[in-house]
Amino acid sequence: MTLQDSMQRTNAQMCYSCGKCTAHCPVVRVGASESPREMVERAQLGRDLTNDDLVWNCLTCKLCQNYCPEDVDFIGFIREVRGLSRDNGGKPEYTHGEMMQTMARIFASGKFKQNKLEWLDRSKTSHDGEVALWIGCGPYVDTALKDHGSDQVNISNAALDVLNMLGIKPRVLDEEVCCGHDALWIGEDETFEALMDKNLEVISRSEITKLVFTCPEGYEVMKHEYPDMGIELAHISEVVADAVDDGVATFDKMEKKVTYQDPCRLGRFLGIYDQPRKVLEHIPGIELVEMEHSGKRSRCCGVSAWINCNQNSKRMQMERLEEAENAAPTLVTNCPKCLTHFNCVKNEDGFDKEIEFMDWTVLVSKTLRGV
Amino acid sequence: MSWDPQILVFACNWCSYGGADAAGVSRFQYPPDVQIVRVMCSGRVDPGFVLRAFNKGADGVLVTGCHLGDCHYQDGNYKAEKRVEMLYTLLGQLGIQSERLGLEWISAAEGQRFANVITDFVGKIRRLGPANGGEGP
Amino acid sequence: MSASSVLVIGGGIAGIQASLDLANAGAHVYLIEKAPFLGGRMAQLFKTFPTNDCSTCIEAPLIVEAHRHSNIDVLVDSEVMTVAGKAGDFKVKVLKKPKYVNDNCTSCGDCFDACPEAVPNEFDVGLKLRKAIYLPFPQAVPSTYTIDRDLCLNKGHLIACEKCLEACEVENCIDFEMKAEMLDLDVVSIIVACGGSVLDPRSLENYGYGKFENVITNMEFERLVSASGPTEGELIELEGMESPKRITFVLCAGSRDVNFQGYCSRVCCMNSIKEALLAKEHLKDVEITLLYMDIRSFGKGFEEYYNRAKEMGIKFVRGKASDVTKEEEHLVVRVENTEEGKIEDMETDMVVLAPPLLPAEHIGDLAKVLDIKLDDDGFFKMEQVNVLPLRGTKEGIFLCGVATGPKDIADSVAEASGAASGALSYAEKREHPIVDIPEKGGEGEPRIGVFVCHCGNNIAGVVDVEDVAGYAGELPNVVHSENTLFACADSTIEDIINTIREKDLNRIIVAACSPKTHGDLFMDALIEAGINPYLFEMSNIRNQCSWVHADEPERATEKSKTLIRMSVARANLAEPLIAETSSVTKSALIVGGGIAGLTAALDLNAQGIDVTLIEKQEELGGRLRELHKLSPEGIEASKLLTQKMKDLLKSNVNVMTSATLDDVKGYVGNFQVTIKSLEGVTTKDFGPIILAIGSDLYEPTEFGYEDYENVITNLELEKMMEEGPIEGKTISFIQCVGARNEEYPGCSRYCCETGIHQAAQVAEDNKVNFLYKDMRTFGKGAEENYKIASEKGVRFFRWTEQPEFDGNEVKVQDVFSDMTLALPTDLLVLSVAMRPNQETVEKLVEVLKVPLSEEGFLMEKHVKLGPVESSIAGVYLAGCVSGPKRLDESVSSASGAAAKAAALLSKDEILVSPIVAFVREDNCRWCARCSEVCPYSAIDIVEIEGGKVAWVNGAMCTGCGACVVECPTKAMILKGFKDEQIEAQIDAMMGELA
Repeated sequence: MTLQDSMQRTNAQMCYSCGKCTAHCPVVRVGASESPREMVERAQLGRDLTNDDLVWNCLTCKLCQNYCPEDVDFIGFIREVRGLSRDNGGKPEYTHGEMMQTMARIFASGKFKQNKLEWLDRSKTSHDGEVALWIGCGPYVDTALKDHGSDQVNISNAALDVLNMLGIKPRVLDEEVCCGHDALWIGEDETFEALMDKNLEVISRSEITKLVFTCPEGYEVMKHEYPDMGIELAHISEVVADAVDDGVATFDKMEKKVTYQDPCRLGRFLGIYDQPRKVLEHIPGIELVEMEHSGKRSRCCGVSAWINCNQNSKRMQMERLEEAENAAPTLVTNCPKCLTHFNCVKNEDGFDKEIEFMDWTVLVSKTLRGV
Repeated sequence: MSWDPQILVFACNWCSYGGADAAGVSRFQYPPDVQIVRVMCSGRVDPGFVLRAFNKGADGVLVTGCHLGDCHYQDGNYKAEKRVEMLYTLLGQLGIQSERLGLEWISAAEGQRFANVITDFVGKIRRLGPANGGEGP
Repeated sequence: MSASSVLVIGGGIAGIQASLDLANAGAHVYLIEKAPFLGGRMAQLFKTFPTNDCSTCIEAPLIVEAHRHSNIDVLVDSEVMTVAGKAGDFKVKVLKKPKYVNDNCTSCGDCFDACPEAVPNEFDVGLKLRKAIYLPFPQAVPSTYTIDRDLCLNKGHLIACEKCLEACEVENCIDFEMKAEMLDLDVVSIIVACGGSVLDPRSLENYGYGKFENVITNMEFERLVSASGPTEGELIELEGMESPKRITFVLCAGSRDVNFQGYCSRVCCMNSIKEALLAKEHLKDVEITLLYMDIRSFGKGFEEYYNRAKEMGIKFVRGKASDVTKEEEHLVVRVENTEEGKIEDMETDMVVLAPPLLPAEHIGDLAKVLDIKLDDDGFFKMEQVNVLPLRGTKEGIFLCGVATGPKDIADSVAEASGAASGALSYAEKREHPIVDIPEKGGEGEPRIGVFVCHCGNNIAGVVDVEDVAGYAGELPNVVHSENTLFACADSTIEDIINTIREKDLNRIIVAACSPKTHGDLFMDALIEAGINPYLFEMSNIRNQCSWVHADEPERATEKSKTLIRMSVARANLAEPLIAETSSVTKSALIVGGGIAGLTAALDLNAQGIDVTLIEKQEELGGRLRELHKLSPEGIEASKLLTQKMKDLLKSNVNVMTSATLDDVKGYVGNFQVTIKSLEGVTTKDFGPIILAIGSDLYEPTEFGYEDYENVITNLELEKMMEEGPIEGKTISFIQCVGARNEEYPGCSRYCCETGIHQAAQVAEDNKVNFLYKDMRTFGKGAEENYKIASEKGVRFFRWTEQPEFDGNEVKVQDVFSDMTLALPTDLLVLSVAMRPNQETVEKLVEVLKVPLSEEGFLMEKHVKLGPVESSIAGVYLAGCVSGPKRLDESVSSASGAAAKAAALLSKDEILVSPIVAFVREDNCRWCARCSEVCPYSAIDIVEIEGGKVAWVNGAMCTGCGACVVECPTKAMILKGFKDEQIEAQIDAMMGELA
């Protein structure tokens, strides 16, 4: 693979330097030394991009692509440049001692049989149902980042309750491994492919027909990067929204003024904006107030793929939370990683916001009263 | 086929590394399956290093430091203890037997103890077998 | 250089500490030690109380530092023969005996194996053998072997045994022709740190030492439980060789006994408790009994240690053992259990005696040579026991440690620093070695040179060194590889330097022994070759390979290759590191104008240092102003204080009264201190800060102190005694008021001694009752005052349950008589506890972030070896700020703090170790996790243009790396131990070499 190939595949060669991407890029806004336009221009000039600022600092949030008049797949370009950079000895700034990436590599090696479901109440699951709930990396992240306020297993538990309430006893695939989303987006194609192959095998063997996610990243990568598995994929908010549409979901009252964070994978990548909002608005007592930037224009939680978390990330987070604070006292997110990132910043020096964070699924599980 | 384990030992500069040296001075013998990496303090051992070692093929990792209360840097070994405890859980989740990770306190005077600890740990890892020995899915 | 040299006599921990303080202050030192090695008694200990620190681990770095210090000439095997002249100009003759082995010795030990003659090793109190050529213990420094010519067969060439010479592979190393030398030294002052000796327990006839094998001394016990001792820490009976099931510790075995030594030996209670705890650690089911008179756990953390021993089931029986006999297989200790009033014949398997500490052997000879006096106990006499405890009876001669009486390590170390402070006032020159550390070497591709050492046969006998060197030569970036007989030999060092220059090497790996012992030597070679010393790596293929895998040569060879591969991986990523410098403001601040503050101020002033002293009260003098007559000699406090004030008036000390510390910014050498006084608020710069803030006294609520007029504190009694005679009353003293209880477990250390002293004074004209828990009269002359009080008719009552007072009678459950007694009392005196100076301590915590002990006193840097330093660099502790102290102890620690401050002020700039944490600002999200985990408050969150970042103060960072692990975003780097380097080592171990 060459840079030239990548540019063709991603339309980067079509860029005519209008700079709209730069104007929207959240990383540029908080002080990146390079813009998406400049990077593409350097690529067009055949320069080496290995050490370019944006190679690893790009959040791949896809906001720029909303506006690109030439339909440049900038983040696809970034992903490929990351692979090329790696070949030249480049690497991201891994966070948390590279633990998350190392774990993905360990799963990919297939040497060990993971055992991440100790917390699972099997009475909420079935052995042979057709619908499965994807658990993902939450249990590991919770262990590794307990001090940072990671609480992702709680979300999986809430999802089990929600599904049970809707009359679904989902399966949990004991042998699922990491979905590979992060490996793919940091240019570790071999790791991604090994993980994907394992999951394909596990899913096909399971004979399920539907796979439900709480994490938009797993959903996104399986929908767009895995080959068609012939099964239905859905986010938990879609499942609940369907139940609301069918008039079978009822909710207890919850007095809360909330705002909603669109995760980039769920929103811009998968186009799911309305379903989670619809459910929230259906809960008696919930008042949903939008942030200044929401929906397609929504801004990122600040970090992606456990890399390059830094000064700029904090600035983005503080700005985003400023918007949230102006909107409502509670911020509802719909991605376990968004929640972990926000919980992390909450424990940091300089955090001065009066705001509560809540996961969407957890909120729903507290009010949903079944069919 | 004979198999020799690959065991990584982190030793703090002030106590355990000195203990390893003292074992040598007194010629206390132990199996050669360990490689020592010197760090200033056991509190310098990043959990990421331990995962990295297992990913790269280590069969065991042993973190050694000053006895609790003896840390040259006041409480680095308590920090190490906390991290190793987290790793026990994490390794269990990853499917790596948590016994493959050890934590021992060895002072600079405890040459014999160093040799004993290593001998015991190597014995344990040998009994467990290679870290990928049929544990894979 | 010699014009400003100081002589330090004694190479134990006190002598080493004094030498280091002097040398670090830029003075030149001759450190004289009679034995072939440094370390003294502390080197023999396994652990130290009350933290159970490994003794070797904490002493060895100081020994190595003293030995390598360019301002210290270490003369072992040496004795002072004559001293002439006077303070400022002493002429000293020192006899240096031959070692018969010169500095070429590589400590390989080949000679030891060859030597045919063996005797019991003194270091292991005779429990292990040594040869005629030997190193007494593995960590000994200097690590040159020595020949005991009394034992050597070759003595006088009578028998031509040259087995050692034959075994030695080093050229020109063992030299039977070496002669004694007489050295003439010119020194300006002298510190006597000669330590002490121990009573030969054979003279304690009733205890059966020497008669029964299982009656041993505490030092023998220490070696038995020591991991490096003769049994490798296996606790066994010497007779029977089994683990003892019952052990009896006999305390005061000759101390506090007019038949032997009247004084208290001060260390045995705690040392015995420590040994009992160690025994318990070794043998879970062992039954342990301590026979004691009073448990004197008076130091910081001691009482808690004692309580822990009781909780662990160690039995404490009050009574002095009367005799030890043997019946069949076991020993019998006869004792009266004085708390129960019955005689017990205790069966036991092992008796551990705590014999008294005595003055050093030949102390009389040394006193004659130095022309100074001894005190009644035979120790060196202090010029004045309360406020000049570190001065001998001749000007220019200073005393520290056990030279003046029994003492534990922490007290000896504090005194050693204090003695150094005194000695420094005679030394005019302040010279520090100038080392120009090259910066270059990191640029360009790594060009690595590998030197693989045979260490004679020590490595090459097991590892195929040539194979290893060949392998190393093939590794990426390695441009030179060779094997050498002794890497540390002068000729090899030359070779390394030349090869660096010829082949333009920019990374050096020596595969030999331990970087801890030899790293500095090779780093110096890099400096000489003109490249940065941190481009050096060491592969430990001897201590951690050939020596420990002697039976597996092939695998040891493979392991050596792996170790070198790992070093190459590390070296590839090594960078030149430069120690940053930081300037020093040449002015000291002393906070507190009590005796400690005054002492520190006058000490520094005597050295010509600019000093500012602030005192929050209107007058100077602190607690001393409130005292009348001082224990033990009864000298009037006001006299001593007046003398100090006169000295102060003559001095250049800038005194500010009614002044308080308001804020402190900055760091070691560069503190900006805001001081509030009547004249307003000023901010001044200081290099060091000495905290001499004293203590508060407990305000009692018990015994009706608030209700009855006839209940007073010991301090109020002092005032009454000053105002006029007290006659015809019945006075009762109650000790431990506000101390040694659940809320506040610590002992206040001063009050038994002062209580006894007060009691003895008022006993002339009054009837006196003295109610105590344990009598802790351990200070100089205090035990004697206890006897005087008894002679004067003071009646003593021992209590465990708190007495009561109704205004007329004290009701006490007396332990000895086992009766509840009602003691009619006209005046009740409460000896109250010392408490932290709450208000000032709170301020210090706020502005300096100093850590506190559970009881609220400031923590020392190290409870044993750093008693006058705080954990904040440049901030030193004098007097009761770190815990209760007696007067002379406050004075000693104040002088000690002054010595530390003087060392800092002797430098124009301080070098900071380059192994420090460093923030990559772009990666930092100033979450402050790093500053929260830093044990040294070295990290702050600071404003920069456009935001904030964590900032590491290199002058305060110690390079532990805790913050690096805590940093979630890899913003924090530990120079010299970068993540990438450790990761590369791990990868290389598994065969991956980038």
